[in-house]
Amino acid sequence: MLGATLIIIFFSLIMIGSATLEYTPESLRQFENLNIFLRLLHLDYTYFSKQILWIFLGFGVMALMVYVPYEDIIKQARFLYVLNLFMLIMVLFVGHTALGAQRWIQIGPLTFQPSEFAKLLIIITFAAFLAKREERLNSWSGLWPCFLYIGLPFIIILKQPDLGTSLVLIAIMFGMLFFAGAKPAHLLVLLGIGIIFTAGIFTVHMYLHQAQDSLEKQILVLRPKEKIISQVGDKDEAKEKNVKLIALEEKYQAISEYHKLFHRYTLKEYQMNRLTIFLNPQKDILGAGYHIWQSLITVGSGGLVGKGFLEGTQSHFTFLPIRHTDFIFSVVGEEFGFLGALFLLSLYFIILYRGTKIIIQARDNEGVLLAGGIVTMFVFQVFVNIGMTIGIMPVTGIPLPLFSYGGSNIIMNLAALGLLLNIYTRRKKIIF
Amino acid sequence: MEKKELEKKTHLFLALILGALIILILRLGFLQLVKADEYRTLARQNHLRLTRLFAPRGEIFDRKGIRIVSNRPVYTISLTGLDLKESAQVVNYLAGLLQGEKSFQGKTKEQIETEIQAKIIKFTKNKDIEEKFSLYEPIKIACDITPQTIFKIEEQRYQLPGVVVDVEPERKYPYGDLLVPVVGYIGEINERELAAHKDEGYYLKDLIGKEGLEKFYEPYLRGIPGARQMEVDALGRPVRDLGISDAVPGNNLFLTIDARLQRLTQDALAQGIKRALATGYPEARAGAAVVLSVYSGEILAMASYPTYDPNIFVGGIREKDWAKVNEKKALINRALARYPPGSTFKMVTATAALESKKISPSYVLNCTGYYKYKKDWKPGGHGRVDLRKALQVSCDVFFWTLGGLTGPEKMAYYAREYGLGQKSGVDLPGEEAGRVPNPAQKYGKWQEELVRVQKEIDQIKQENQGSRGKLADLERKKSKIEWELKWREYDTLDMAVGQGDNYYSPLQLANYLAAIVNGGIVYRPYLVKKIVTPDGRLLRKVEPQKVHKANVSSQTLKIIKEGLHLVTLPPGGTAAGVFAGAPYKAGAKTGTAEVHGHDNHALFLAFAPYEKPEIAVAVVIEYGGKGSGVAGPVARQILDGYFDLDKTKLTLAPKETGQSLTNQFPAQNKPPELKPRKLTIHREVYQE
Repeated sequence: MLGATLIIIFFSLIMIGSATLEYTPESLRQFENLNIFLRLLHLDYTYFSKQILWIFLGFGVMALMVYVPYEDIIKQARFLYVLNLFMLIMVLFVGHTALGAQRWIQIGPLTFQPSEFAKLLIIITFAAFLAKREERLNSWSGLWPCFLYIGLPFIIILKQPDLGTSLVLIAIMFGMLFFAGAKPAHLLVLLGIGIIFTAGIFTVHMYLHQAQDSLEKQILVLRPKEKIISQVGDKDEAKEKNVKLIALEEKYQAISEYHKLFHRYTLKEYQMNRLTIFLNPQKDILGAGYHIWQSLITVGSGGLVGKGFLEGTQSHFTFLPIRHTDFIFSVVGEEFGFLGALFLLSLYFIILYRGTKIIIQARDNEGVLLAGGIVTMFVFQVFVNIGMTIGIMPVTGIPLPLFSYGGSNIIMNLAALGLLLNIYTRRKKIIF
Repeated sequence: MEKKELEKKTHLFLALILGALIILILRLGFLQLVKADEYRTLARQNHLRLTRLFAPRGEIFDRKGIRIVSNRPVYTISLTGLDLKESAQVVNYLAGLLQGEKSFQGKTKEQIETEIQAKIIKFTKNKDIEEKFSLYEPIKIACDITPQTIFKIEEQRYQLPGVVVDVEPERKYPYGDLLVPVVGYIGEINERELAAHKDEGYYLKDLIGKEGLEKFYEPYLRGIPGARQMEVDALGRPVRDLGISDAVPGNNLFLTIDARLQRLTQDALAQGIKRALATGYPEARAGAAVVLSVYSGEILAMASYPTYDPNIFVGGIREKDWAKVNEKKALINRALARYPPGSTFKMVTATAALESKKISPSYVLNCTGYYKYKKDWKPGGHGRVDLRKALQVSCDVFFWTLGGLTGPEKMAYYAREYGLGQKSGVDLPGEEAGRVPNPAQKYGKWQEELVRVQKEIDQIKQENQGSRGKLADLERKKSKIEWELKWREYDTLDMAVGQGDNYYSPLQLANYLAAIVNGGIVYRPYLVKKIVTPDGRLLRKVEPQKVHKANVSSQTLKIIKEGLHLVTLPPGGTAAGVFAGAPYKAGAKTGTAEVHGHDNHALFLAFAPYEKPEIAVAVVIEYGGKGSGVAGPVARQILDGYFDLDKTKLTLAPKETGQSLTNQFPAQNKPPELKPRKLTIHREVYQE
């Protein structure tokens, strides 16, 4: 597992260096004559070196997480939970805004993203929380406190807004409940309700939106007609048209009121648009669909073996946006093709497979829950991030664990892996 | 927790993980293996731009190498990448730079900016929304930019992403209206033309010959457009040049036209029309003159009046100019328009009578001024006339008699023998055959009319409404038409003197005269002598082409030719005054064609020298009144000029737009080499 992690990180460094590189005519001519190893020397090293710093820091934290027995960490659950909430609330007040969301806190020269750490903190604290009430989980009444426990940080993160991370929390909750002994039937029902509810919201919105649009069109057509008829046509007809127009306008008013009200209590129009655009990115390839459309082109144009290292036209000619963080997988797909993507996915699979083995080997319930939470978090993030770059998941701003550029991401994930190793080293000794 | 249960759960969990990964792999496989080609194309379109390089059109020279139509290079500015956020700023900045340019004269920066924005909006609106890649097609926003402004733009490249500077060849007409409207004009290809020429590699915004020689020789003149392929980044900034295939200039035309004679002819025609106006024919506003080489069919000059300055078409004609040109009907080449020939038809009547042996060459008639119910143009008649004399004085009574003797079929036959009423085959678009009247043709014409009236009557009867009066009117009209269906005697008489349903173009008339004086050979009149490639290789040489040998005896032709010579001589020759004092012997025929409700058309045919004819001239002045007095002097001027061309002082350009011969397109001197390197052009860019 550690080996796979190291390879992923090494791969990631090269890709970050590649992704942030922009071509100039001179540099391009140089590349053409270089072999792969020489090309490595021409990466863009600004982000690369920063990331190395984060990685060392991450390994430090990881070592710490391996060293301190996880039982000791879990004992601090109450404190950690409060700390977590505190940091998240801090973001809302003193947070640093980027890309339309308030997610970062600045401490000295560093900025960090509490919502990243919130994931791990939630896993730890929720494990402690669940371990205490394990036998009560098989009934509905036993489940409610769990929702409250997760719901609080969930809502705060949603407020930032960081829909991606809040979804990760939900996934973690379900995963851990599953391992804690909640009835799978209950979980499925909950999941079903959630899906129906979400679908319901989107359907209602679509209905309102379309109704408003079609009314607007009707009014636009009718208004000039009415004007002309009232000037030159016969009176009865004019009156009839006028009545019709007024009725339409009233209806339009009502619908648009509902529409506004709807957005006030749920997501904003542009957010909804961003979440649904992946179903048909071509609808608006220069606006909401731009990211997905370009990402699809990037990945698809890679083909089986890719365009070659540093030869991706989509990334180096800057068509692909935010390519060193959220969309870094597209760069892999473009430069190394299907085989490269498969290679990366198998590395993740190794980690996940080892993770599930650790779940079984864990010494106690806390260990099982921790490991389950960590693996869930990992698989969910990998799936949603990669799914986003290939157009089967909405764009929600979830980074690719261990791969995307970003200090918080790398430190948190390494810490999580450290915790997994911690559980592994303190596993049940099987005595024959 | 039970270990067994935990293991079961974990296995389920592992299965879920595997499922998720398999979904990803399947989707990746779909994108990267199944649809990879499609996305590769899209990626290419993202970062490759194909720019068409316009080929300079071939130039047009006269028979002696004087450049009548040439090219000059102009700078144009286009915009690409309109999807950029910066484009509004770029337009703003560009507007500042373009201030004071010729095409934006006297406009403020804001006005220029709105003008450019309007162009962009118009362009994007025009395009199908589905056709998303039109965003990457450059939009031309300004033409004919001064080099100073181009330097400024190049200096500030980085503030102007998406701005493209190109050099395009533009038509130039150094001598203004010389040979207008024969050369025609070019313009942006329209949708209909695009559909018709789809397989020849035309694209929107290409230029195409719309009229005249430009249209007829389009495939030769056009050249082969080149292309440049560039790699660009997301901001549309060029990253590198992937190769260029040079445009190949079009081929040059060398005409049979003599530019100096052409100018002289145009001037003479214009003066003739002025004279007609001055002598009391206020409707005389248009006309045509054609000068043919008698023994080859080469067109030495072809003039149509009024003309226009073709330079107004360069870079897209303004609406105002278009309206003006159209109002004057200056785009019509009147040398190909149809006119009644009047007395110039009498040679056909004479031929018919002699050839069908209805009269002998020595036939003499005493003209009293009357033929049955018809009166000669000269009160009292011409006395005793033979054929030569009849031509000389244009005796109507004589030709009526001949017409009556030979009948319409024979006359029509010999008219066709001389090439009348058929397309001459001249290398210009839109030529019409003209019309030779005969009983069958007349019957057909009125039959159509009859059918139309009958239908109207039937309709009224069926619906059983409409006043009795109207029905009676229609019935009366019908019986009149039924009477007209038949060829009557007066039709024969009208035909014999070139009235009635005779319609021929000045070009046909000149060619007909040429055939009479060259021994009966009908040549194909032509304008292009040779076509030469830009590097000077002869591509096509046009030889004189005998279309037909008229079935007329040389004796008949000789008699007629003598008669035509007499026309120019006193006493009594209708063109004796016109040719008084000419240093050469000539032959001619006047014609004054009656037009219902207007002044007569003035026609004049002439050839010279009499002994060994070289050129034939036809002049027509619409509503010019009299053949001899109005059209005659024009022909005399042309003939005088022809025999004394080297000594005649001439400026080829009309006075107001006189321009020198410099400023030629540079590619002209040095033919570009075709690079052996083959450029793969990604057709999808245009096809999708």
